[in-house]
Amino acid sequence: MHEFSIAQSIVSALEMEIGAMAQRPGKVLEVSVVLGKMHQVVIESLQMAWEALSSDSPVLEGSSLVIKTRPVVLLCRSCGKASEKGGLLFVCPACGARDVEITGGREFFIEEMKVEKND
Amino acid sequence: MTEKHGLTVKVYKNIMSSHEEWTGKIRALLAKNKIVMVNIIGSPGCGKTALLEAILPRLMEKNKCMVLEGDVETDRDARRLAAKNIPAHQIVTQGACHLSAQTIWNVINDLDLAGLCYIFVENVGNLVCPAEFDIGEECKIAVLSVTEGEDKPLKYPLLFRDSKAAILTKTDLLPYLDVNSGLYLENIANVNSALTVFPVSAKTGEGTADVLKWLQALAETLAKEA
Repeated sequence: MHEFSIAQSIVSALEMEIGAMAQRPGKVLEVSVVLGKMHQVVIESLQMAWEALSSDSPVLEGSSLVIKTRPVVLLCRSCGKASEKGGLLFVCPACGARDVEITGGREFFIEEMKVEKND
Repeated sequence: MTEKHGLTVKVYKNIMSSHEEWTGKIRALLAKNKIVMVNIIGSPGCGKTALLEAILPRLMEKNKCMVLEGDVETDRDARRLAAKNIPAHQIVTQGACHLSAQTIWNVINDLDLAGLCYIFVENVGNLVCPAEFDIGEECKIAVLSVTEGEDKPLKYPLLFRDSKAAILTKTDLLPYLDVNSGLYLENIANVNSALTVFPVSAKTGEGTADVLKWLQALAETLAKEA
């Protein structure tokens, strides 16, 4: 299940980010990530993996994970239209051409975190 | 659901950023030594090892090669290759469903890379996870056998979108199967029309010469760009 590896990667990336901050933030309450649908992540599995892995992290323990998904968007090199991918095929919904570039749906980043206000 | 109050801190960080240290080091080491590393991804039993057995002895006539074998357990694949005098290093993941960049770095940093032209990474048999994890390769090659079903490219689009070539293996079995080989090609094109596709039989050798030429051309192109 690659959701476990992805959750571990989120934990590692955040630990790096927080470690590099000049001023240590308050306790992390919530982490928001943006995942494009090209990544075929099972949300429930990622949530489970997050619960397990964040509990082992001193900086992320007890935080929840908010997952925002993004659709796959195809930019057609033939007709120039950008359309959300419908169905299984990577073809332009407008003209049927196969020469398409993926301009949305590959997002894979940590957007933000909510931290407790320091007194 | 209770809304959590607090300060919002914008992060905008790539989820894979903790791996980028390793992929950066791998690419730098490979570029310095002029080595082409290819990440071979396919399901268990699709014929990845057999493909290497069929192609590498010829490629090795003029190019020094090394295979990094990734498996959950056993060193059987590395031993198969060694029996054909193909240098192979086994990486046993003991449960991990894909090879990681850090693992690849730890292995290649310890290898004698002198004179090496190609490193072939035979990733853990899996069409999902290995496609997600960059290991510092020059390119991915998707391997799919004619026994797996014509719809597989549609089911695993990330791999087929992100590969530079696809190899359709076990074509010698086509007369015995109720499959439409044209539909395999059409479905690959419906996911990635830019993908170069090679129908191949490791058993008979059919199609392997074209894969060899493609690999040689890949190295030549990269050498010119460098």
